Amino acid sequence: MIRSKGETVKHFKALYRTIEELVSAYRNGDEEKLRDFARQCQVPIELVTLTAKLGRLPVITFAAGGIATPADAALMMWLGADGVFVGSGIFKSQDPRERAEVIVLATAHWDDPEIVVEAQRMVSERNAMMGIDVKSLRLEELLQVRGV
Amino acid sequence: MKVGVLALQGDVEEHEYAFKATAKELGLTIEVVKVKRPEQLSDIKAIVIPDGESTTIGSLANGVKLLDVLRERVIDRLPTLGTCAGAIFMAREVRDSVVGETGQPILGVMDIAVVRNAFGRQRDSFEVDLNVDGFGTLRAVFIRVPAIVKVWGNAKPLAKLRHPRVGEVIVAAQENAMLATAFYPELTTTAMHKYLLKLARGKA
Repeated sequence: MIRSKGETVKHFKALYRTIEELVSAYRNGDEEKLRDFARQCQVPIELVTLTAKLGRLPVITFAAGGIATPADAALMMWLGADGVFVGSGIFKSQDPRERAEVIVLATAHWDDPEIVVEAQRMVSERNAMMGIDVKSLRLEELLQVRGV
Repeated sequence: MKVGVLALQGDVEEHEYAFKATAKELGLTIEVVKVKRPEQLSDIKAIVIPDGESTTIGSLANGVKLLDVLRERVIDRLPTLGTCAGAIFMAREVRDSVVGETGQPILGVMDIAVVRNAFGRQRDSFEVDLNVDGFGTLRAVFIRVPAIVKVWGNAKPLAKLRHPRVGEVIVAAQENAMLATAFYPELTTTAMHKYLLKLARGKA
């Protein structure tokens, strides 16, 4: 299993943009493109081909980082997550118990807007964890550059 | 023909995939419905209750008023396969090897007693070739699964396993149109889904 961390919307969009490119290369029989990608990422070609064939990562993919409301959780499911991890979003909120319940509800019913809206109404936006605007982060603070 | 996979949480896609592979093998056209709301239960001919976290599945099913409707349909002999958490969900008696009484919302429709986490934690996972009555030898994957410790009434054991931690326990059982497995047939075989589709078509 794999999870995102921080800047999670951006990372999931980038992930699925890349996967879409691999899928179209696979469908067009463009093996060279798949091979180049495998070389560039230093991963086995079999793994790249499998990802292209499935149209998703071949392992469970969780979204985490900055999810603070039921709507945030549903958005990540729309972006292709198999599930969400919520830590601070619950523990740094003013209403952790209720918030945990409605985030679970919205995640399970992410494709049912009525339920997501209902879940969102069950808690107040004012009690949510304050997020950090990605644009306000300095380059060295971004998770995507750490450890690179 | 419409068949369902309870899709509140768990390995829903794996069962969807297994159903589709089975239909292809049998030359059938099926539609797999990811069941999240009670009204979706009305026209399906079989259902799978997948693995996941049984308390989560139960709470979510309760939250959308799905639990009672599903229970009625299963009692009414809707062909049902429950794997791992799904088996826990179907059992009349549930205990946990660590926390004891669970008090979790369940269907409670099958005359079996299960013990959650019976074989230990994730690192105690294993695979075996398992002889299952009526299904032959299946590759069975055990990842933090329950054991069936008792069957009564019309429920019959289909497979047993001897394990150092728990001794000899039941790992698959059947009662009328209900099948419960401690392991994950969806990962290794289409045999159980095939049987379910046969039951759904009244041909088993």
